[in-house]
Amino acid sequence: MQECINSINNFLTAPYTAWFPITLVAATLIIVILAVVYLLAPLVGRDDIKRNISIMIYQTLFSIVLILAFGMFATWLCSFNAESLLQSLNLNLVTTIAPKNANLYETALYDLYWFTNYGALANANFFLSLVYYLLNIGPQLSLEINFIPGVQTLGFSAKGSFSLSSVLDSYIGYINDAISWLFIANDLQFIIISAAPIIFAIFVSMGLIARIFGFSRSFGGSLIALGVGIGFVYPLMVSITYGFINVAYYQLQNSIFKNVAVNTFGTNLQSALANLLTGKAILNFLTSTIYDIIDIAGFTATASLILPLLNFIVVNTFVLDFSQAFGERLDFMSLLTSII
Amino acid sequence: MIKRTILLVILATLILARTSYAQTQTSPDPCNYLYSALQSTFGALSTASTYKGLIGYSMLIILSVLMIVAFLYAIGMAFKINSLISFSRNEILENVLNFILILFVAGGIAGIDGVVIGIAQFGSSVVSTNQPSITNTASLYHSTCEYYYGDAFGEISNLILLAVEIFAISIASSIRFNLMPNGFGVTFQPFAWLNLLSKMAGSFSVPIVAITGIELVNVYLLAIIYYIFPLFLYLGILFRTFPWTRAIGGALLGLFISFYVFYPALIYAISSITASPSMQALAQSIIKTHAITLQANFFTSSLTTSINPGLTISTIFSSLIIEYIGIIAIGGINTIGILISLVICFDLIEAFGDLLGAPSLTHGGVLKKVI
Repeated sequence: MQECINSINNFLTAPYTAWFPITLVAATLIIVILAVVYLLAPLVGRDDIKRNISIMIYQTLFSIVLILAFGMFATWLCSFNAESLLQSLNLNLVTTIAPKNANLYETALYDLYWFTNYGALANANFFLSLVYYLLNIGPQLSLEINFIPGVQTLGFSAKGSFSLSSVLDSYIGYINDAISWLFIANDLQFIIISAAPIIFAIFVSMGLIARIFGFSRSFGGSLIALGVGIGFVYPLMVSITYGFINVAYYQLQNSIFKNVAVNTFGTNLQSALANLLTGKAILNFLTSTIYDIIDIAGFTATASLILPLLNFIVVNTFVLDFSQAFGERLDFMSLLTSII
Repeated sequence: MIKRTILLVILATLILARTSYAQTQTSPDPCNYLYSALQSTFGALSTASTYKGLIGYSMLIILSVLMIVAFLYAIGMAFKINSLISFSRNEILENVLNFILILFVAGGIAGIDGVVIGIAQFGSSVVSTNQPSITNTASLYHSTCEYYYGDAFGEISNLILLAVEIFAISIASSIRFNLMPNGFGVTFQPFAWLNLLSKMAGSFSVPIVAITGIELVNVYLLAIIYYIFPLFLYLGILFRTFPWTRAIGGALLGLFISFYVFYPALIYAISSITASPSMQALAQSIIKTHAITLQANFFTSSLTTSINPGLTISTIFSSLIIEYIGIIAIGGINTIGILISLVICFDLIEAFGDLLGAPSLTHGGVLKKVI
């Protein structure tokens, strides 16, 4: 995680700060060139060029306003203490590895990191082996009757083993594959979050310049929408959704241990003794552990499958609608589908 | 003396244990945790007062936009610029709609409570149901969670029963008679063919695991919707105040209305129908009738000319099919109910996309993209 935070900080301190002033200089330069062309156009008798240039000058002036607006937004975004806001809504899990006074990108990265390495996904990976052992636990019945005592090969025998693995064995392999893919999907999200600030700075800056010209206006709108979508909306969604899942999972995990203990021994000394003496404690321990592991598996499956989907749907919707507002309709999910 | 003390301690232990032997154990139920314990942590997310800052900003933005638009309208009227006049009129109408939306949600999600409960109760009113009555949105989510969680664990019990049957079959198939007094002779394993039956019965685990998985995912999906989607309502209102972000605001409102309001109400209504005793009896009888017809027409008649073990396998297997299809029928219907509700909600998103001016959701085939 530290490497990702370092890369974010590098982006935030070095190239990021340069992009918006460079864009401002570029826009000013374009205005100067356009003004020169505007002045020269009547000299060569081209009033049509003069008309077009005047529209472009308005567009450039508007773009300068937008550059200033987005520059202020970007400065606010990178200095904004997202962690404290999310913590006030209980959407950020306080742990020893949590960054202090973190911005939106660091918060999103931390939430994703905790989910993958300490939270639901990490524990699902750990518990998979436990489930494998539990599924293979079961009595084995062996019966042998010999017609002549001492002669083992003359008689009747029957053998049977009872374990859930006989029914579910192949699913363990599927679950293992699924967990590997979920780890890969989470690693991809790490890369996107790590690159989000630079995507925001470069795409928005380029988009603001591109939308000055008529022929690249729609392309500029798309770049702005992509930059804001991936650079702001996506980390925001990750912080909210994974923050929620981490806090909920942390509490579920604590309640699960308590639940196993209550189910195994009961709530008082008498029931603990009764359960221990009757052997019910072992059965209760096994069943409640299996049930709780199934709960964790359900929680992890939902979090790992639904959250990326939800985040991508929201980002796609944002990019699509925002790009249309700024110039061009761009279907982010279709873009992804085409690539995949 | 020591022996007496030990005896007394053991006796006291037994008496103590005996008195609490019948104590009921608490079963692991995530629904209580999701809608009671988590409510204290995340309750603020679904409370209107949390977002009063956002609502205040939205009102301020609406007023500012209205002032600017009124100014533009005046300029349009003064200089007879028709495009400016029509733009201003449109913007004024949009902002009035936003104002009404804010007034609606300013009172909290209590207003939405009535809509959600109304849809759920309308759906379940057609049948007599065993479901507990609902009084607010939280109880609707809790009740739906309990039903689907209970059904998922019912399916896991079916899985254990299946394992027991396979156990019995494997014992029977492993019976062998050894006639090898000097290490040489013959061994009979007359029920070895039951192994085939064991493999066939094992294939029933596929639908059971699938149903359990979908129902468990649905339990946690509902919790995610319940706690996170109210944020979309308020962000949607805020985004709708700016002309450039109006479409994304509409899209977020569409997501909220479809999934927070309609999805739980729909699956509650479907679960109410499947939970009613009359529907359960009807489903069981229809499935059994079809399965018996299948057994009579296909399994037995087509194999009457084959060897006897083959006929026996087919008869036992078809009986197993009847038994298991009957058992997993309700879980299967509930799973189909979840899928139908999802399809309806994705269609509703498109409808709300049309209504709220979100081009991303308008005839965009959202469901197609998700699939």
